[in-house]
Amino acid sequence: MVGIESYGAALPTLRLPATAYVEAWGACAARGMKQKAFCAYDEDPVTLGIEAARQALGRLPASVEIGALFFGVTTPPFEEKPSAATLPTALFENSAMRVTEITGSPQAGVQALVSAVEYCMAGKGRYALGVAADAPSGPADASYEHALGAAAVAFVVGPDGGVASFENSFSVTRETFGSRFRRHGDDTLSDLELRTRDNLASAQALGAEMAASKLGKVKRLALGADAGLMRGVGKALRLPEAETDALWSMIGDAGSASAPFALAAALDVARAGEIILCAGIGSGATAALLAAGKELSKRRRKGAKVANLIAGGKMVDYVTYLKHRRMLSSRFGGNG
Amino acid sequence: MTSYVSLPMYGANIDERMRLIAGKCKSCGQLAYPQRPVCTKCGGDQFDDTPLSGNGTLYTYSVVAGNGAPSEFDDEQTMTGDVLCGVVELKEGPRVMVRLADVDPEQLHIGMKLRAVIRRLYDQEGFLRYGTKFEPVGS
Repeated sequence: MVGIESYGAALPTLRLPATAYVEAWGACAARGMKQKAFCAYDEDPVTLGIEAARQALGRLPASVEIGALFFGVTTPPFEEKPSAATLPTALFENSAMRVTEITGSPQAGVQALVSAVEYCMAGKGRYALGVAADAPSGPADASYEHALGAAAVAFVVGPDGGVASFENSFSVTRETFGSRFRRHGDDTLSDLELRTRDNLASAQALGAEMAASKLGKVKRLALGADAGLMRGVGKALRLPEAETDALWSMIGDAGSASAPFALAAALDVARAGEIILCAGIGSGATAALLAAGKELSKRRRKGAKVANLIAGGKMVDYVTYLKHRRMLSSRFGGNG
Repeated sequence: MTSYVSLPMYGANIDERMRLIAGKCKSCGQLAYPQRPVCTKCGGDQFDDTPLSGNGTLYTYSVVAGNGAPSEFDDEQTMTGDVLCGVVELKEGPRVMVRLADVDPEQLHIGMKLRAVIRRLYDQEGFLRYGTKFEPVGS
């Protein structure tokens, strides 16, 4: 059954504690966040995505021919000239490959995974790579900047689904006004902070969509969402008994990588047969329903676990953070 | 791997840079990385592409402090401080001059284990150059 054959995750090394915002601004607007991971000066979603993909490919028992790569990212370095093309250049000798960049919302990472699954299910190729990586940025004086972090995860999808079989996918779309958007040419996110709770509404719409299908007993919700949304998301999705993740509090908002990263964390601890729902929420929602496979415990022995990645890293102060993120540079957002 | 490369040259050997593809001399088996037109051991000029593991040890290093790095690193050095360079002895034998990542100067010591990672090298002429840096194993 088509599904995930292997997975790998990556975090930047640098960490910023929430207390850094308290010291600098008097408060941290990301309530419930303890720390976040963020890109060093020489890192971006492309470099993180390559690292995650190398981890995923390294966990396979034998090398496979990847026929397609789907890259979910809201912060690609280029608007034209596919940033995704750098990944196969770093990973594979073979260039006969479909490479697709999916962007525009925090759903992009889960959409990349679902696209990889559907590519294999359609018989276009036996193996595909779904990569989600992101490092959203905001203006230094915006409260929503406080939560913005970075992460990456990659999934090798193939015909056997040894790590997790693909059961179903669900999507809802929702036009949003004023929350989390970035106009063409802008370097940073905007958010009018209207407190319209769009993400909760998207989760409710997703819950209604899923209610028509037989889901089985969903053990884990992999969302990577902020503490505010997590409080009500189980009820919104009509899965109040499912376990939710708390990754946001330790890595921050990793955009399109948040939910897939939470899926990697769930796979690190899941038992065979457990049902996991991974949902990327923002301007609608995309969800993948998966069942942990028999090969999972064997495949995850090799490589870094999400908990270890989070426990590692180097804590820095706020000024160092601003410098690494180029927020004190006259070249911020521009070319070097 | 450590300093300015023109875009045509960067494009010409991008695979070699990103995946560490060495040239293996068809005459004597000597590995050359970066690749060269002539083997330094036997003078042979025929090579087979051979991927390297990306694992190695720090052979020597240098800390470029006080804005002493070339102009393509101006902004990076202003923002992040010292630029760390080194020579890595790869597991397969070749020694390569590289940039070091995710390590502080005081943590560097000869013989430390390193692994290859892809990072932004610099951003100039409107274009990002990605390439291989080396970081401590386990960082």
